[in-house]
Amino acid sequence: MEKFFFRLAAIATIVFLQAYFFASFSFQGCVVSFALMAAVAWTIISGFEKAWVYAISLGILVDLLAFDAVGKNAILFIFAVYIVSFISRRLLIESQGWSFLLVFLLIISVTFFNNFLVINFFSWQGGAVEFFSGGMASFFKGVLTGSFCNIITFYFLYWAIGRMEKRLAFYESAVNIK
Amino acid sequence: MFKSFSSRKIFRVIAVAIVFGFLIFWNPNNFFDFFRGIIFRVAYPFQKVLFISSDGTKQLGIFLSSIGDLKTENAKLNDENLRLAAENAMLRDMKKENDLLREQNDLFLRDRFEAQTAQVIGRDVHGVGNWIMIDKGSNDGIAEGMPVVVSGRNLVGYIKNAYAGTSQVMLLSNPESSINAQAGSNEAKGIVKGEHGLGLILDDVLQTDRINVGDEVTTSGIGADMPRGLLIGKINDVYASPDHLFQRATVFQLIAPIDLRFVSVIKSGQ
Repeated sequence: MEKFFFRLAAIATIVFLQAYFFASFSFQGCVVSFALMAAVAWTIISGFEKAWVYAISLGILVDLLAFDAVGKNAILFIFAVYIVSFISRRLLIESQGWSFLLVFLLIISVTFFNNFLVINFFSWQGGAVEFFSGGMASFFKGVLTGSFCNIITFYFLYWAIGRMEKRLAFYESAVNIK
Repeated sequence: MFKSFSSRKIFRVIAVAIVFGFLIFWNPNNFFDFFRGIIFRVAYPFQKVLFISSDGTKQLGIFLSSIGDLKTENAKLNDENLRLAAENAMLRDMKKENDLLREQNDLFLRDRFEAQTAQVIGRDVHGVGNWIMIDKGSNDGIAEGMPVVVSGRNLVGYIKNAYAGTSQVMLLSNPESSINAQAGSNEAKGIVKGEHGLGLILDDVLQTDRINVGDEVTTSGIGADMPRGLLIGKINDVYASPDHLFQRATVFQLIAPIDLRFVSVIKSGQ
């Protein structure tokens, strides 16, 4: 039960930081996808089996706080988590030398996929999307600048969530021994 | 076979996409508003603290990056200050005279607004600049549709959703925003629409009406959704609409909504 509340508090903290802290910082028109990077980090640390629930919870809370249609970010996050789940933790973090490049490629892929789905949602809801008349360049620019912001937050969240999960696992094993 | 498929990752992804896709399609805004209200109540103390910290951090960053320009900016602002002080004194005299004449002719005074001051405690999560959140809600007499102004009569948006202790303000730059407006001394009528946080467009102005760069754009009061005379911005550029039936103008706002910290909500008046 304590683990549940601990994780709930972590999810709430991540979403509040996304909605109320990072919303004020815009780099070249891009805002850090703090909640998305948390979902990605959680998938690498805990695997898809556990992380998909956290991803959906993060998505729903972001939708509620961002006044988006509820479900939009939940769908975006679950697809991102599904893509990430094919990359094992060992390959991504523990391989010497190539790990940073792999992480960067992963973040670019997730950011690209997320931005692409956002544009499709926007277009489907009646917004005008000029993708092929100059819009493509600004789309890819957005992906690159977004990836740059996201990679820094990913490393921080990977460390923070990794520590939290280790603590919870240690606490669980301590309780079992008792 | 179904059991083995249902335990696979892809099944869960498809199931989630279908369920939430249905929710988006159904789009029951009022249904989720109840949960939003609860979450905003819980999040309110964290929201205020986090937003003030982020704003402070941002201001510090802006200050550090603009240290070099401070001296020039200071000199420019001093000159502007002197000019505005003189203009202010003249306008104060004119206002006194105007109020006296209105009283004598049995007309309502212009500044009879009941306004509620509120602090900005949240911004558009996606960084597009489509909305802000304030720390006053229905408990303070705020209702949907009320105009939101800054520095007296500069319109920045209107209340879109009012919760118990907080409200969402739709900014004029939101593409869903549409305000009846007028421009220039000839009071050319048009509609001000938002452009995804990038700026404003004054649209549907008749070709026979004359609008010029630098003209002030204010609310026209048509439709009774907004009081008349609230300043929206100034015209930056005038051009024909794609179908050449109307004129359009880009409007720049004198106040950048993204930097707002305190606003006033007009609850009643004219």
